[in-house]
Amino acid sequence: MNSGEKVVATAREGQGPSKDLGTEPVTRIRRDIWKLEQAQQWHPAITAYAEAIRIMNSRPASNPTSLAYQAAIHGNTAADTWRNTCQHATWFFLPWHRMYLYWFEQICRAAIQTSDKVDSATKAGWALPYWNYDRGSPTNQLPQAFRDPETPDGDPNPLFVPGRNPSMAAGGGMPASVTSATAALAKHNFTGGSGGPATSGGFGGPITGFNHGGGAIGELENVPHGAVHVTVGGQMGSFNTAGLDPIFWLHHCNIDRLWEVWDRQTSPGRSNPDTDNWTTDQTFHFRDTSGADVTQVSGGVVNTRDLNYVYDQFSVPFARPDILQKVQRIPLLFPGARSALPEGFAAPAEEVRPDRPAELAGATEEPVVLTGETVAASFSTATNAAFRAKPAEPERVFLNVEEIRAEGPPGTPYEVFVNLPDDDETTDDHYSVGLVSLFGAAEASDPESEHPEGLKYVFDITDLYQAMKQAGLWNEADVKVTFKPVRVEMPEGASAAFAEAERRPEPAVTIGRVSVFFQ
Amino acid sequence: MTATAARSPEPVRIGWVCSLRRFWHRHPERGLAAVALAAWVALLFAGHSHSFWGRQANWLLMLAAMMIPPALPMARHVMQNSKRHRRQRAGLLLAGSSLLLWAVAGAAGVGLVWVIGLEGYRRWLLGGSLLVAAVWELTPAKRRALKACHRTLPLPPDGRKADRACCRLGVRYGGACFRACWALMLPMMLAGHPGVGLMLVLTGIAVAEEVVRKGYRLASAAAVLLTVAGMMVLVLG
Repeated sequence: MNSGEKVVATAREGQGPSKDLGTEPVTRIRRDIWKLEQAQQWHPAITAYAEAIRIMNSRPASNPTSLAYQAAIHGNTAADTWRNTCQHATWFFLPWHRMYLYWFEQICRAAIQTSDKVDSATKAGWALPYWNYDRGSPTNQLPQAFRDPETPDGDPNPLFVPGRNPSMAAGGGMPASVTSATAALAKHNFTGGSGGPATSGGFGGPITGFNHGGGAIGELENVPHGAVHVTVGGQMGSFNTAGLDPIFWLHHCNIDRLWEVWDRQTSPGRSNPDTDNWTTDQTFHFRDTSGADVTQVSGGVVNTRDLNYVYDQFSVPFARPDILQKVQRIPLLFPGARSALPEGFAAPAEEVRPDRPAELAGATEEPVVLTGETVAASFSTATNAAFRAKPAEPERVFLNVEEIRAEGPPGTPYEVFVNLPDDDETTDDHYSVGLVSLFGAAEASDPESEHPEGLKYVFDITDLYQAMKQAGLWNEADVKVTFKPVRVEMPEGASAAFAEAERRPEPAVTIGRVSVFFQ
Repeated sequence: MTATAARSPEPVRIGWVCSLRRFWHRHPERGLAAVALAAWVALLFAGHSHSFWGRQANWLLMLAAMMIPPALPMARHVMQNSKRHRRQRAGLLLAGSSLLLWAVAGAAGVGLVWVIGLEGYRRWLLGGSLLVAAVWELTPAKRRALKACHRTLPLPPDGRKADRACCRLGVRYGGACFRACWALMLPMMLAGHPGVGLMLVLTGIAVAEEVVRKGYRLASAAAVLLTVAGMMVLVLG
C-alpha cells in the first residue's frame, strides 16, 4: 500500500475493549502471510520477499546487506558493534527486535526494487508479512511458500531451508500451547522488575542493561516467541542461525504485532516503560540499506507509525478458553476451593509486590534430564517454621526452573505442570503453569558465550498455589513438577515412519534445579 | 484491589526506611562486604612487617581486601538461592573455598620471596609485575577466565549436598578468579604491601571486570592503566 493510505484497524476480539485506533495516515501495512496465501498462492508480496532473500543470499557475508550478515547481527560466534547483539532476557527484547526488523525490511525493500520479477505496485507498497500462527489450522503450519523446495517457475525456492522439524516441513501444525499469546497478553506489567532469584520477566522482560541472553525472560519472549523458534527447529532453533531462515522475520513481525496488541489493551491499560534507562540510555547499532551505521533507542520505536508501518489487524482470535483458565487460575477448577482472587481477565497476583525478598522454600536435590519423554521431579517445601520468612503464608509464590543447559539446540519445548494428579490429559490444563521453550539453551551452555550461566524460567504460580491450598491439593512435603514434551501435530495422513522421524534423537537438556520461592 | 492487598495492609513507612530495608534484604552478602572493609581498615593501620609470618598475615589481609569484593555478586547469588536459615553458612562456604587456592598459592609465593630475599629488587619486581598484569589483560585466556567467573552450579536446598555444592562452586569460582586475577595479585605477592593507592586501583580493576556484564571489554583500558602504573614505578621509583 502506498504512503499515506488511511487504515482503520479492526477491533480486537475476545479480550475486552480496545483503545480507539482511529484513522491515521500510515505508510505501509504488514499483512498476515496466511491471508496472502489464501488470497493467492505465491501472492506477489510473497514472491517479492523471496526475491529479496534471493538477492541478499547472493551477497557476500561481509556485506552488511547480505542475509548472512543480517543473521549475524542477531547471533554470531564473534561479536562487534553490530553483530551478536540481539537482546534476550531483557526489557530491550521487544524494542531491539523492532529496530532489527525495521532495518531488515528497508534492506529487503531496496533489494526488491532491483528485481524484474516484482511488479511496480508491489515494489511501491511492499512490507514484511507476519506469521500469525494463532488462528488454528492451517495458520499454525508453515506457509506453503516456505515448504516448497522450488518456486512455481521451477527455480530453487529462497524461502525454503532444509533441516527444519520434519513434521513442520511436511505441514504439521504447532499446538496452541506453543502458538498462543494469551498468557503473555494477560500480563499487566511490561517488566517483572530487576534482581533477585525469583524475578519474573513480566510481559516484555526483566530490567537489565544490554543483555544478549541469560536470566529470566518475559512471557512473550517465552511463548510464543521461544516456543515457535524451537518447534520450527533447524536454523530457527539457534541464536546464531535463526535469521538465516526466512520464516524468522515473519515470526518476529508477529511478535512485534503482539507487542502492539498488548499495548492497546484497556482493561486495565498497559503501558511501556518510560524511564530513561529504557527509553534513551541504551543505544543500539544497526546497518542501513547502504551498509552505514545507524543507531536507535527504545523510546524512538514505541509507536510503529513513527517507523511508517502498521499491522493490518490487532485481534487475538484465539483467546482460547483453556489457556484463559490457566491465566485466570479460577480456583473453582478445584472442587471445594472458594475463590481467592477477584474476577477479571488476568491474574492480579503480579500486582502484589511485597517489600521483602523471595525466600527459597524448597528445591530438587538432583538435576532433571529431559530426553523427549515426560519426566517428573518431587521435592519438599516444608521448612522449619522458625526459619520461614514472615508472614508464614506467602503473598506470592514462584516456581523457578533454572540452570538449564543443553548439548545442542533443543527440538522440543516442554509444558510444566505442578502436582499433576494422573495421566488424564483432559485435566492437564488445570495444573499447567506454562512452557519452558528452551530457545537459547545451547548458547547459554557454551562456556565461550557471553552468558554461560544457563537458561532460567520464573513462573508466578501464586494463584495456582492459593487454589491448591484451599482445595487441600498442596502437600508441603511433596510438590511434584512434571515436564511434558509439546510436539507438533502430525500432518494428515502421516505415516508411521514419519512419526518415528518426529521422535528423532534430541540433545539432552539438563535442568539443574527446580525450586519454589515464597515471598 | 487484589485479595492479597486486602489481607495484609502495609503500615505507613518513611521512604528512606523502606529503601534501607529493601537494600538490607536484597544484599545478604553484606557480612562478607564488612569483612573486606575490615581488612582494608587493618591494612591502613597495620605496620609493614618484614618477618615471615608478618608477610603471610599481610598477604591474607590483602587477599580479603582485594578478592572478596569481586566475589560479592557470586556470594549474593549463592545466598539468595539458599534457604534463609543456611544463608550465611552458604556464603561463608563459598567465600572460604574460593579463597583457599589464593591463600595456598599466596603463602607459597610470599614465602618463596621472603626466603630468596628479594627486598632489594622491590622497585623492579613491582614495576615488572604491573607490566605483566597489563599484558595478561589482553590475552584470550584472561577473557575466558572472566567468563568462567560467571558460571554457576545448581544448589540443593539442604544438608551436606548443599554444603558440598557451595564448596564445589567456590572452588570452581576461585579457580576461574585465580586465572583471571593472578597477574593483578602478583605485585602484592612480590612486593609485599605496595601502598593503599595501588591496591585500590588493582581492586577497582578486578571488581569492574567481574561485576560488569562484559567486563572483558574493559581490558584495554585496564592494560593502559597498568602499563602507566608500571612505568611510573620503574621510572620514578
